[in-house]
Amino acid sequence: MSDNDRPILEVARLSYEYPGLRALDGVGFGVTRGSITALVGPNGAGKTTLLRCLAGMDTPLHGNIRIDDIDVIEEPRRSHTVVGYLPDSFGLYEDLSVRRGLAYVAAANGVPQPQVAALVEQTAAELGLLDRLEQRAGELSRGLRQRVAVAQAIIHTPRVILLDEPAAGLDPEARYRLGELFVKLGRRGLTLIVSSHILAELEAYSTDILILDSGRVIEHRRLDAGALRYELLEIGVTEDPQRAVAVLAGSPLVSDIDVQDTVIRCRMQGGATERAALLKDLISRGSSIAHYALLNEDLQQTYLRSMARSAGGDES
Amino acid sequence: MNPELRRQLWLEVSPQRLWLIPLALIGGALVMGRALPFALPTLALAAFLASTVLWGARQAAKAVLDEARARTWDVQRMSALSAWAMTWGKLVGATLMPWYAGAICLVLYFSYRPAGSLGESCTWAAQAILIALIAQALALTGALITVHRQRLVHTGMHIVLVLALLALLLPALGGLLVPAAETVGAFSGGVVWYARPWDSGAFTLALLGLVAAWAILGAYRSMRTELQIRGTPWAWLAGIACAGTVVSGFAPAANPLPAFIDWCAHTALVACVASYVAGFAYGCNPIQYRRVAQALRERRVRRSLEELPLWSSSAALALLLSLTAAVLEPTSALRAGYDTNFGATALALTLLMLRNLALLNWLSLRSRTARAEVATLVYIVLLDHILPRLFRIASLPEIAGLLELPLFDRPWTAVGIATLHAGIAIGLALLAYRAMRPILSAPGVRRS
Repeated sequence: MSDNDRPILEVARLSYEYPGLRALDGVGFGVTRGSITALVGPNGAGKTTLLRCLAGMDTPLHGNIRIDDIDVIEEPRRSHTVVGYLPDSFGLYEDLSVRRGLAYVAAANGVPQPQVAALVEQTAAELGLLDRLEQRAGELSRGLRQRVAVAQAIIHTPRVILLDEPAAGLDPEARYRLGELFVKLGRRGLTLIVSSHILAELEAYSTDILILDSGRVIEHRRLDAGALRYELLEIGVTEDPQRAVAVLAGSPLVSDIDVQDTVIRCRMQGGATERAALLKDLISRGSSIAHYALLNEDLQQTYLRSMARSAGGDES
Repeated sequence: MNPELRRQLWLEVSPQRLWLIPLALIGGALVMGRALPFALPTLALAAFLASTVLWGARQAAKAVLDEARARTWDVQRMSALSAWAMTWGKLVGATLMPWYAGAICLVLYFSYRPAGSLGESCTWAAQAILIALIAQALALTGALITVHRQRLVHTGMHIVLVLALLALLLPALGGLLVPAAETVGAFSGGVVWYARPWDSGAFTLALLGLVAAWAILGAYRSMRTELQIRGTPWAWLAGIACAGTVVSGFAPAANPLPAFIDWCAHTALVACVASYVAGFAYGCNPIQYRRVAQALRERRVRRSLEELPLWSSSAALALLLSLTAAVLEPTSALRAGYDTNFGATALALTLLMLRNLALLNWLSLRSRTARAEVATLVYIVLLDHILPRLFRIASLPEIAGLLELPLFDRPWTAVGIATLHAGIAIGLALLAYRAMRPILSAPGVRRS
């Protein structure tokens, strides 16, 4: 396994408790270098708690967290040199200018003094804040404040950036620009974990999805094409849809079959070869196919399917 | 330059402040100099104390509390600054203007001092500087504990108020320690400490220097805790031992064994006070106990020691030392000036401290509300002050005797009663801890 393939962030058996409840329950996953992971889940699923544990801000009951070979639980301060964290309720140094606020965060995160000024300019340019550097943070609009907060989280060029609801309260254009920035950071080799409720937006830049529910990981996978990807298939038949349904139900790769008149929708695991084989099977077993189309499953659908499966599992 | 110090400089130092403060102080001195020329040195020293103690302590506390209020404290906790850099950066940076004003006051103080009093003036000034350092370090520590409590314990009661009420409710503990401290200032000529006479000015200065050093170390250790840096409580225990050594120096003991017993008993009492302060200041965090239990299950002894609540280490020290003093005391019972077993009294007070802190834990674990401290104070009032009187009024002296501790008349009886109290309270706390474990362990509980 090359260095690039090794997870930069590894979590094992992580449990966290608040008095009276377990917020994280044996969470385990790995995140590859350069990926952008969408961290999603319902309110109270444990997303913020997980991010705070990853950032070394809260100590879990037990478990392990390693980021870039640093044991976060044993050496939280050391891990801060490689981790950037934007909390959901962030604060800015309202009485300082943007330049001074960023310079302070850079220096406090171990950036050598001679490099601080250049790094402030570079980060401000990246976030479109160059013309705001002399303005007090307290005078900025919501969107600009959010950008300054992101700049604070990334100024020391961390290898892993944790962002908790970074787009909350932003207008569509500001959200779009934030997404563009995340893609740019991902291309630079930085690893991002972004928690958000705005799934359509996460979809634009995420490479992975991590779904939490009741403190447990219920799904974690890559979103781009791969062996485990679920495709949403739509099959139109001219008559007797149950014949086709019987074939689909017999396939181990097919799940979530839904029939409406002569249109069948289902999820299928696998790629083009598996789809071609399934079509051949349907025709050979007497189904008259009117159309056979691949629909893209968006993040929203992935999320809802996982949540429904998790709820079904809980009920059983 | 320390980034935290530089940030504080950006925030605190402005040209207006730099010229307005001396203008106001020197102007005030000129006016007062005409009206009350003889009182000017005293007023200048009072102004120094007002500036560095009142304003300085407020600034030191605000350096942390304002961060928590503005939600920038997480940015600081996420930084890679060392705990020491953060501590001195805040302590020096946030108090720069109070020290600037204080320095001008000191210049005025020395300018107007009576002729030929340089030595005495220097001592007063040095004492005032140390008092300011102590106040600022304690304020920073208090602020750090406050943000820690707000995040983990969610308790509403003000720490200072709780500790003040506690001091009122436990007169015996304070009564045994305060007379020793009073002797420092009692003699204008000198102080007798470890059977040797000391100049009172120099002694007070040295004592204040020692307290200032421990206060700054305390602020640093509190900062470490807040920055998630774990450690064993060696500094806490060393501080208690040092305070015990200072206090026991005022007790007359000519031979090594009685001196050792006195040291044990006094240090145990200091440890009791320290346990109360730590227990009520940090509050009860049930998850901390879960982490200790988890570390013990994983056979990680050092980790379990690091996770232990601060009060428990000083309580253990108090129990060990008071037990030692109580057991050894009969051998020195013939010492002049002692007609009771001081060690057994210290042991009874230690057991009473264990009872009260167990009550605090029981109430915190049982109700998980922010009012556990207040409820504990109410229980202490009931158990130690109201119920014994009610039983006596009801002509039930036997039952009243189970609540009243004859600390000085029959210390071993007091030990017996206190053991019963502590045992019941610890049992209740353990039951409450066990009762909440299944809820804690239940997987898949969704937060509302």
